[in-house]
Amino acid sequence: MNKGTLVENVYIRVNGGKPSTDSKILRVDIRALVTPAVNFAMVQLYYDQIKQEGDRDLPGTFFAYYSAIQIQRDLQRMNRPYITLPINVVAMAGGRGIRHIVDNCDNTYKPISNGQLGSIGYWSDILSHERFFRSEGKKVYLINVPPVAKEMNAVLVINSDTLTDEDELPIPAGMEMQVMETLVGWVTGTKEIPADYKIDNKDLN
Amino acid sequence: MISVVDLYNMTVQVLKKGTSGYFSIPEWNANLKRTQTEAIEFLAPFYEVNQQVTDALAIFIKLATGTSDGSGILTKPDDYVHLTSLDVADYPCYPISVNQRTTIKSSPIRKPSTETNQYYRMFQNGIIQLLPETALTVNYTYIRKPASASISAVNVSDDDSDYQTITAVADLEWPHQLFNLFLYLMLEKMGMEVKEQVLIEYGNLGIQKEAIKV
Repeated sequence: MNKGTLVENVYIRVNGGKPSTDSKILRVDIRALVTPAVNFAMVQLYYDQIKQEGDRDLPGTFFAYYSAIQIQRDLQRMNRPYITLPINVVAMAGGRGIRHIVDNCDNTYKPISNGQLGSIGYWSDILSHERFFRSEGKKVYLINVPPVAKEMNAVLVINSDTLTDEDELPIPAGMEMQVMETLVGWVTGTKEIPADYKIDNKDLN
Repeated sequence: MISVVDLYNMTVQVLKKGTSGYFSIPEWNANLKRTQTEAIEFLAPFYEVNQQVTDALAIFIKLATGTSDGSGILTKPDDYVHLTSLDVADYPCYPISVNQRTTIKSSPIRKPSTETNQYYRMFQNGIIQLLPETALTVNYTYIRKPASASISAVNVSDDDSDYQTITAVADLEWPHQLFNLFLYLMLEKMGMEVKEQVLIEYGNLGIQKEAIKV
């Protein structure tokens, strides 16, 4: 389902099948809520998936591939190499919104947390062949970048904010109705917070 | 279309039984003008309340194209009565009230913008103010004023008598099913107590009498 169709479906439903310029809810109001509703479904799926051995990833339709992102140097931070992500990624725990980054020398980078930063100077010397990254907003700092690496390729979990009305939404198959129901509940004020985390039609509150 | 001659003859016929005195042709025409104004201004806000009202006013719906000035000001046409819809290049232009203006303009979601095709309109100072406040070409439909209708009297003389023949200068544009409403509104202007009949006629159009201030 593309973003425009989802928004229109919700728009028609909240207006009783007859939307007009007299409607109190506008399309932009719904569009602004698509991202949290989709992320809710996406993260829910991720935590369900992670429990399954051998299938611990999100569906491929959730990812977008970006190539030739230039490596820059942050003069304010001791000339550290970094890249600027072309989109806002989904802020998943553990930096999982950045699914995979690799430089043009085919080196894969691993995520590290901010808590590991204190020891990274030590470890990066010992593990000089290991590459790490950590993110701050759209900036991704790189550690142990080989001198010949000039650009990066990244696989990112798509944030629905960046999608146009024609783009397919990263909604897990079978959860489209739940996303729409969530949106209708939000904009009509009938169900502020979705609490059916297990998709068993039993709200927790 | 309502024949003004028929309407005149009916008012004369009814008034003979009433308490009204003599009225002149200019007076009758003036009352007809007041009646048209009253009817269009009362019915216009109910335009889409049901099919009867829509049918009654359909002939007065007019499609127009206009361009606002650099401040988003769109001047109303001379024959304007009521705005029914307005769009900017097929994008909806939502009506807002004056006290929504600042909240809309500062909203990160609803902010008026030509880039996101988010448009709004409101009424102030007798004009239509468009947001964003820039030159915009708009398509709009509105209910126009009815064309003027009137009668005239032609003096006729023969060997036995002198009399006047009533002829139509212009008939009413309104559909014929509103004949009774116009009759009672005219009689009301001429001093007859027909409040109940007026309420019934508006009721036949599906408009609740509580909304009618007569």
